[in-house]
Amino acid sequence: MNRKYPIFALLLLASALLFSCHPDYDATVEELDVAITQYDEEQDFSQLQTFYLEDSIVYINDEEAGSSVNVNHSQNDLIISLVRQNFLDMGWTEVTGPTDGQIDADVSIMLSVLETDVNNYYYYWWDWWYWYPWDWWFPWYDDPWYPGYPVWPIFPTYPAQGYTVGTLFIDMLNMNEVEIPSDDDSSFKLPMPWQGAAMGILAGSDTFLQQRLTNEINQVFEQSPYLLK
Amino acid sequence: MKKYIIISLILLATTTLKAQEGTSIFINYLPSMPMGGTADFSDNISPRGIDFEVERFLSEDLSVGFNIAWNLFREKIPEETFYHNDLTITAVQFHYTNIFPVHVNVKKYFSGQSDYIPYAGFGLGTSYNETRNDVGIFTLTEDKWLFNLAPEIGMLYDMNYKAWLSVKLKYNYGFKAGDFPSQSYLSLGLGIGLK
Repeated sequence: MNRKYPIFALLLLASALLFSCHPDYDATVEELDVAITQYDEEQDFSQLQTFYLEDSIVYINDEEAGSSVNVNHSQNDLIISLVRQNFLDMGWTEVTGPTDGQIDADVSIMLSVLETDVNNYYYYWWDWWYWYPWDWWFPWYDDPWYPGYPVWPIFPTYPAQGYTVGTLFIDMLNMNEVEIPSDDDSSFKLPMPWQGAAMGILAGSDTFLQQRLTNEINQVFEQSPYLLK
Repeated sequence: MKKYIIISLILLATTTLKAQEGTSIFINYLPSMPMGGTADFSDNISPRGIDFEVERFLSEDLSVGFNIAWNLFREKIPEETFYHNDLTITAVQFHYTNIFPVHVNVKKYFSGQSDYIPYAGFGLGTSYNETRNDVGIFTLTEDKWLFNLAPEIGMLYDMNYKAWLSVKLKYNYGFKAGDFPSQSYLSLGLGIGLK
């Protein structure tokens, strides 16, 4: 038996260990924060001047799957005020509430936070559909209005995995071009000229969370210069 | 997972292989410097590299052999805005490139009376290439098999009748395929061989 063979094998083993020692970076919580936006390149944003912002955030969970996580709701006011301030800073005019039961704004801004991991984006829109106050925009609908069919618009899907618990969605609905059919059919039209998402790991103190939320929400607008008036 | 399989195979090979007459087996530590398309994605000199080689000497100054290697390059990209399909994304990115070349090679030795034997070689084969971009908790991965070549120059030191010491400079180039960019890097190999 050649005595060098065990030495050779040991060298190989040492090399294998060299490779297996932390080949991946150790990311901090902050380094996992992501700001994502998407917009409709066909949209002329100069035609959109006024926005309406709901003073609430929809928390999306999945009770059937039992996979929901209670997300900290204490940052609602901060989130809403940051979104409002960014739109105002970019020159938009806010329409503050329904007048005579109606709202006359070019776009409606919808805020929602995931309390469950969503691998299928459509789940999100299915839920979203129920809570939206369509009667403010289309008073000829009875309240509460139940559509009876899902909505399947085309939305971005992030490759490999879905959106995760804690993700904040900021979605812009162009109310000038919404078409709601009076009967159940597939001609429903929900134009979304702009969408933003801020995602990150929900960990750390309130101050830390607020700082990261502020950074990410501001970033969502900063990388959307076409919204500037 | 693939890397563990390959390492296991190499380990298995060393415990079962017997050096044949005129056959040498080598293992080299292979720190590498990324170039071209590899550097575009993960631009850091990498200490993580290894190759395993079996050489059959056809004559005193010519050998043919088989080489399998593994290199890992990585780079942390500070927070920046980039584009993916129709999405605009701002995040810190962690880039990783794994390259597994598999070559058949030929080496010409310039042996004299000295124990130091310089050589020039050329490898031809394929390589499995995987680029991975970790963004937040997401991972964007692309992989491709590329046509690959690898010229090298080096020197063997004839330690004794059983073993070699080897040092080499090896350039690895994988040709572009489809949207997957060409991959290239320069390696410094330091190793030992058994006769």
